[in-house]
Amino acid sequence: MISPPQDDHERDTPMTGTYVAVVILEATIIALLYVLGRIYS
Amino acid sequence: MSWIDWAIVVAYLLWIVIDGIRRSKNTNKVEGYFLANRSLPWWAVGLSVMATQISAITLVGTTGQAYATGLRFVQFYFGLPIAMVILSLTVVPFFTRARVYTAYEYLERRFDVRTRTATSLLFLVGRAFSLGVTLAAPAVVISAILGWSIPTTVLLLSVPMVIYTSFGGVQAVAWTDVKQMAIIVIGLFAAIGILIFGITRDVGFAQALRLAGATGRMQAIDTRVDLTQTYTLWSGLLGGLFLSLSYFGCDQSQVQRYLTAKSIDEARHSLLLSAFVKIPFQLLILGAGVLTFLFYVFQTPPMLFNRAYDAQIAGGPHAAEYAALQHEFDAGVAVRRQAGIDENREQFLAADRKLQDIRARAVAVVKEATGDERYNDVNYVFPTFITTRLPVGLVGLMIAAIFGAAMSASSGELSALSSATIIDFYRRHFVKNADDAHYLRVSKIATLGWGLFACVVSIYAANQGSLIEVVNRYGSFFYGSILGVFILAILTKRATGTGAFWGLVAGMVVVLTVAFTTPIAFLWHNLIGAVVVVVVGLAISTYSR
Repeated sequence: MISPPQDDHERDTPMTGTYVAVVILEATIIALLYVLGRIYS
Repeated sequence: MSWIDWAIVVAYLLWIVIDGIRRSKNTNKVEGYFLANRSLPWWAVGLSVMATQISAITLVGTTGQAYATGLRFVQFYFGLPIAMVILSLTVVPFFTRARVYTAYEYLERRFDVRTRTATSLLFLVGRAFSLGVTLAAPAVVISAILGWSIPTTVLLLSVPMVIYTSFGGVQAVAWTDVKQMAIIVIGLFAAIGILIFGITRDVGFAQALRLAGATGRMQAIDTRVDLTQTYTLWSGLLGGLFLSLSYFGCDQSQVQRYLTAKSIDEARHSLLLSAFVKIPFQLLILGAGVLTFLFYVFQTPPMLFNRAYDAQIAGGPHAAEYAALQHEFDAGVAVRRQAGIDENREQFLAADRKLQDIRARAVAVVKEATGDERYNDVNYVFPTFITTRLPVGLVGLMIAAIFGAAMSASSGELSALSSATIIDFYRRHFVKNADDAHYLRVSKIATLGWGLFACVVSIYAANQGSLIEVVNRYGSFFYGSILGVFILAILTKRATGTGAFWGLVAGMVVVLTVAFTTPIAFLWHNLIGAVVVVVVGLAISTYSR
């Protein structure tokens, strides 16, 4: 028996890796800006 | 501006309107008109979300701010990426599964009609006036730069936007936002290229950055723990987090955007685009401001960028005093330029301080001569660079980008005002059982009506500078409190309708009290409002059961 197709609108996949990437990117930008400010002060 | 630049601006406006109207073919139902039949790809929704946040004042005001003080304004956005992650995990799947048209619709299902109506009304009042200001603030600058009257400028900004939003609904808004975002990015990169070219004719790029650093303009991070400072690392991370949670999670102008996405995944991706790109993009805009400062170190700047009163002062009793200041300024510019080329730090800083002092005295003369106490120079820095230093063609592109930014910021708000009016008030309280065609017709009328209202408010506000400041400063009073109501709705099971309603009232009272009686910076108001609503709401819910 073929199960009914899942409603595409409800497609909900885990994105933990993406969330971690967002946090790492933000931390990197803040650290870089801090270092840049120290270098060019 | 040459005829080529004018042709580019006119062609751009026509293209936006015609394409917007073309989009109306797919919006013959209310769901199509307000939610694009929940069919848009993540990248279009994501660019639309970003375009809505970039108003014309972001382009001209932020660059001017960076020209004057440097990169520190970027801290304002530090809470945004974290907020996007939290919203992707909580609100996005929640609203998408609930298949609501407005964020406030959900509050009736969870609490009661009173809480839904109160929050939606707060949104309508706040947004209606801020929409007027979103149009008025750039109109003031554009009218001064291009020599147009304010009503003409307001109408040129708002009529095309109202036409494509009324006819094409949110679909037209989203696709025009995508185009406007592309024009803004292309224009910014082109302007930055010209700025770097102008700077590196005299010195190396690294030397130029050292000069900017010497004046403090490269200091983006302020780690001080001081609640009275508007932009610090902590106010950005915490206050900015709550502001972003409230704006993207509870404000219909943003929620409506990701409700148009094809699926929960696509809605998440659209928000996460901002999480990745917003801070770098804002750094690009601020960087353009710092580069404009460096450009004018080596290329002679005007003493004041806002030349609206030049003729009046030249023909008045302060003419001699102003001319003497101009003479002193020209000599100071030459000294600073040479010190910059020689990289003589002490001499450069002394000359820069002297120039700042001359500019401050010139502003004082203008205010005294004209009686205009609200005279502002910062917002005119980047437009002056655009209209006087960019080559033909690029001027038109950048003016089109500023027009595009003004329209993309306001079209989303206009569509959201219309959807909240029809879904939360008209269909809920007044005409409950009409057919879809009727609701579609009144939705278009509501969009036109709000557009007209925004035009009237913006023409009035443009002549009342203090009103612009008031709306900008106090418009965010309600954000934290509304966020508190949604936290009660989504994250707690104990909260009742009575608790949420009175929690909302308590939150607003406390935020207004804090704002008017303490020096606490406004970003913290969002955190305070949300916490008060949750605490009071839970307490009342417990005792009212």
